Amino acid sequence: MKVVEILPLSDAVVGLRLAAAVLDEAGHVLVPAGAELSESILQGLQRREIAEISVEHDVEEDPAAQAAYRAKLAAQLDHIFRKAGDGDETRALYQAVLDYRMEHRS
Amino acid sequence: MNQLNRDQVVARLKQLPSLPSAVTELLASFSKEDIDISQIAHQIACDQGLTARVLRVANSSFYGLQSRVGTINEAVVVLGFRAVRSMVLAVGMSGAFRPEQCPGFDAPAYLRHCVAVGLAARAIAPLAGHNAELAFTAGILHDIGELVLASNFSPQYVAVLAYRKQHDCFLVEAERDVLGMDHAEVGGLLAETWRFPDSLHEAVADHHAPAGAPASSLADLIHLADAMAHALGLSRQPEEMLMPLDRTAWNRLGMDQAKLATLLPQIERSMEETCQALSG
Repeated sequence: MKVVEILPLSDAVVGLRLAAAVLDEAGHVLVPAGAELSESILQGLQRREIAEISVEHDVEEDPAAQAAYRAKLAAQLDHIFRKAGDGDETRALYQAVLDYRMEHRS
Repeated sequence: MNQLNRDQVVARLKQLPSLPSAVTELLASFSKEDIDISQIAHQIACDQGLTARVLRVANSSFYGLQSRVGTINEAVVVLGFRAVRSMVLAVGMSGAFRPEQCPGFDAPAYLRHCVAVGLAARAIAPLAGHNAELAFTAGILHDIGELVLASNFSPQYVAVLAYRKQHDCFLVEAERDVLGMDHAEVGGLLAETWRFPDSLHEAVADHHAPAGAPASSLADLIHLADAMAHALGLSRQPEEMLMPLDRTAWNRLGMDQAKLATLLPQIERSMEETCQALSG
């Protein structure tokens, strides 16, 4: 499971992936979302005195917690899809959203 | 008696205050071959409120610019005329209505839904061979008939919203049962009154029944974008519900679950910032 986390720059380590772009005060992109942190990127961010960054990483999850989360998501989707019928297209959308929400849990 | 008829709605639409001149010019530009872009940019720039909101959208991460644009002319140079035209139409038309006089109409939820549909439409457009900027505008404007009804027929629309809540039905069903017309039909009448280009007209009028629209229209795309936005629950309305997806639209777009999986993240990535840029 991917988890998004806001980290103080001092806790960031090489290999983590940025969940959101790092911007300077004027809104310019310093490092784009999705970039993997390298030693030189970390040094550059330290030089610019960036305080914290948003990173994503994979974590092993307790299967019971995962099942509970999936059930909660399914209940929310069942409510939204309560009158959408069971056409193949509609079910494909349901499944795509469920998978997306499971994959991008924050 | 809450029933409306076509003539009554058209008469009210003709009494609407005129659109900002820049918006009218831009609408007309769809059917013109020789467009004086610098003159239109000047007209936009004369409307400070419009300019400020357009520049907020242009500078949001939605367009991912490396440096900020400070004028409409710069925006046209950097983003292109079509992108700026889309933004001005989206911002200028949505701002022409005052739905807050309709108790129960959730304007923030309306904006959130329209932005989500705009972003979804923009993401789908390249797969369907449509212009992404026009698709974004169509998404922002697709439910404009709701704004017309909430701001011009407020007492009747209050009854629609109450009926919907009571019956837990689709909004279009509540509108048809209470008013005898729905927001897509009313949006279509507005599109005729304001002379929308055909592509926007079809997106507004046919997004709930796309199979009846030409395959080349934006109706299929907006129908799917609407469903994706609802499925993600982005309006945050407790009564949000999805209508069955139209098979013809799905097939004509060549859609499948794997393609959907690549589109969904693109919607949420720009959602909050675009809502902020388009509000107020």
